[in-house]
Amino acid sequence: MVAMTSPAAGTAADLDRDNVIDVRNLQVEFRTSLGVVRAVNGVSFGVARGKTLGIVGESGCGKSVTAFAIMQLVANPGVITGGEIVLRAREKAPVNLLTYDPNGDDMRSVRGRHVGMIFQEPMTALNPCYTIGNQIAEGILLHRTSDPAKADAMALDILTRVGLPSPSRLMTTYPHQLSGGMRQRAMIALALSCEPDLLLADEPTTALDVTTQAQILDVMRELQDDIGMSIMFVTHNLGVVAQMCDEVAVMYLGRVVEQAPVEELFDSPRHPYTRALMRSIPQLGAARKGRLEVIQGSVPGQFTKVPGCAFHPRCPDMIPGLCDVQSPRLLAANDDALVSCFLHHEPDGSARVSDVPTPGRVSPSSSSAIATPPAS
Amino acid sequence: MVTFLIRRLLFMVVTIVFISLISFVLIELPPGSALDAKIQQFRARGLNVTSDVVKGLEERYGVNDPLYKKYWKWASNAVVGDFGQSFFLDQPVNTLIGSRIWFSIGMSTAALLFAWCVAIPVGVYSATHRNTMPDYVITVLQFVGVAIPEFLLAIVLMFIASWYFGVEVGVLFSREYRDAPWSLGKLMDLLSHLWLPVIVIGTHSTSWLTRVMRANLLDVMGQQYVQTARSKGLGERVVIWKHAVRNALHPLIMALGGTLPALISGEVIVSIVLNLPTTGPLYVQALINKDMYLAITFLLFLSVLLVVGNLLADMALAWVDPRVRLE
Repeated sequence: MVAMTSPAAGTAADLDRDNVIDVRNLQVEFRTSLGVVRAVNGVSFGVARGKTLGIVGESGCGKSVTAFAIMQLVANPGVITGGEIVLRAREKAPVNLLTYDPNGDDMRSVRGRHVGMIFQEPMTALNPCYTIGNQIAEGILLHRTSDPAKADAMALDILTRVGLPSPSRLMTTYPHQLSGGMRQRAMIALALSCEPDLLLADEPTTALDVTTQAQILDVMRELQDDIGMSIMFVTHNLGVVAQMCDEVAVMYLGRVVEQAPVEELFDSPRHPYTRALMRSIPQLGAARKGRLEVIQGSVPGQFTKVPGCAFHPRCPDMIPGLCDVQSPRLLAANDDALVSCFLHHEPDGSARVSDVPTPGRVSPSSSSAIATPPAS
Repeated sequence: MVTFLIRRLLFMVVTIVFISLISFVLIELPPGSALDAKIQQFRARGLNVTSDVVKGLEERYGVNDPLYKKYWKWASNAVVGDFGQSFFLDQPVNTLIGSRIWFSIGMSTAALLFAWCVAIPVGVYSATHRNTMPDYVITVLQFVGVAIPEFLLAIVLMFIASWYFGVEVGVLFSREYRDAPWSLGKLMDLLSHLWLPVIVIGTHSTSWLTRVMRANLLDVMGQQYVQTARSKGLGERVVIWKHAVRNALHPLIMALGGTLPALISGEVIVSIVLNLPTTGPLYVQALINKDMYLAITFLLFLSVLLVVGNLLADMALAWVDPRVRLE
């Protein structure tokens, strides 16, 4: 990384707004016997209060690891080696979570209370040995009340709010008696039972069919307004992102390459990787004439270190001598968008003035890389 | 649940009838009978046993009756609790077994409890401290425990106990309690002698169950619901003991049905080596002498224990895991 202090340098944290969580330069390594895998390599982003941030990217780009890192629950042999995660919860002074001991009481009082989490696989996310009621009340007993009867009442209340039928019967039901969609609702109830400030949703709809997926997204949106929480929505489904998110952060190889409001990202993607992603979405009626676009090349092996910008070996707009030598930083592109690319910033951090020449890979109508929305 | 239990109990009866039939046939298969041994005994004492006497004895004991007749004779009495007479020891089978079976059951139960009480915590420790020095040490000890033959372990422990600790081995009671009526003192005395055979009998299954526990817990710790429990803010102790261990217990409970017979066969060897008044030595003797009513009654008791053990295991599993409960 090029260490430079330019006034324009910034992260999402420096966008002028109220963030529930600010992740700055987060580093997570997996120290395996085969070598060190840098799963998260300087991730920075922020989630605005009451809003939803989508985190998208290919499999293995570090999306889920980032979510687990916020909880300080990265599985062995993963280690958080650097960065900061600042939480600004409603009933708590702002704190860098990484100053807490991962196994300590401080961190545990954040988990479930201020930050909740739901997972990809509703079939395995609930313990088969305990009733739904028991599992929801367990968290409530830990954070909100010590009275079991009150905890049960609260659990019943949240089960009702996620739209499950006959919630009082569900209290004594075991997970295996429910369908996948119902289990995911129960899981959402569990995660939201203590009304957290931030919900980490790790691909919560991936394992569900499309109808159920839509219902689950509705429930999440409703409760988001009710509770006034923010959501960090990890997914690789751009359709879900468009439906659900206010903002999107695009990750590639353990880094955020672009963060922007959702319309802006879809209409005028800035980073070459984002642009390539958008082009590779199949579109109804448009695909007859040729093959679907793919991103050239493949993701480098997990143990290899790419010098310069991680995307440069696959980038159609690579600038030789710059992109393969220096790493771009995530810098403000305008008031509410950030991008990490030398096409948009000079190495010293100042904005690149000239329009970027784009080879004919983007739709022919686009003359500028930034301004023109893709035909949809 | 009640219908399930009734059905299981009926199946148990059928199973036991089958086992008794098969074992009856098996014991009858080798040529000769217990009567031959008895006649040899008489002849050795210089008594003149004429062929008429032999015939009389054979008729009286029904030695030449067809198999089904013999079986019926034994089974119809066994149902009402009379298991016949030992040819060789001239005592009712009931008294012979009755005095010993409780020691066997007690010792096997104690060995089972010992195995579980050691295997679960050690397995949990081993899994949560995976690939550390203590884990390696436990692993090596497990392999030794699984590999070592019981009679060898019995001899070694017997030597250590008597040589270094001055413990009286080869008995279940000290001399002053041997014929005394049951009292608290006698019970304590029994316990002080019981630990050695219990360790010998339990070592194998302890080592094996520790290994099973470790493997299962490692498996369960990778499950999503363990992360869910952590994400609620639960402490690691609760996560492991409430959420992980309970799910890792299945194979241990299912192994219960198979552990009981293993313990009993271990008990036979150990009791012979340690010269303990349990059923083991008597059983082996009965088989050697073709003392058929004694032998078959033992076999029957062992199979009842096995079947009951399996039923207990199934019930315990239903208690631990709601998914196998039958509604």
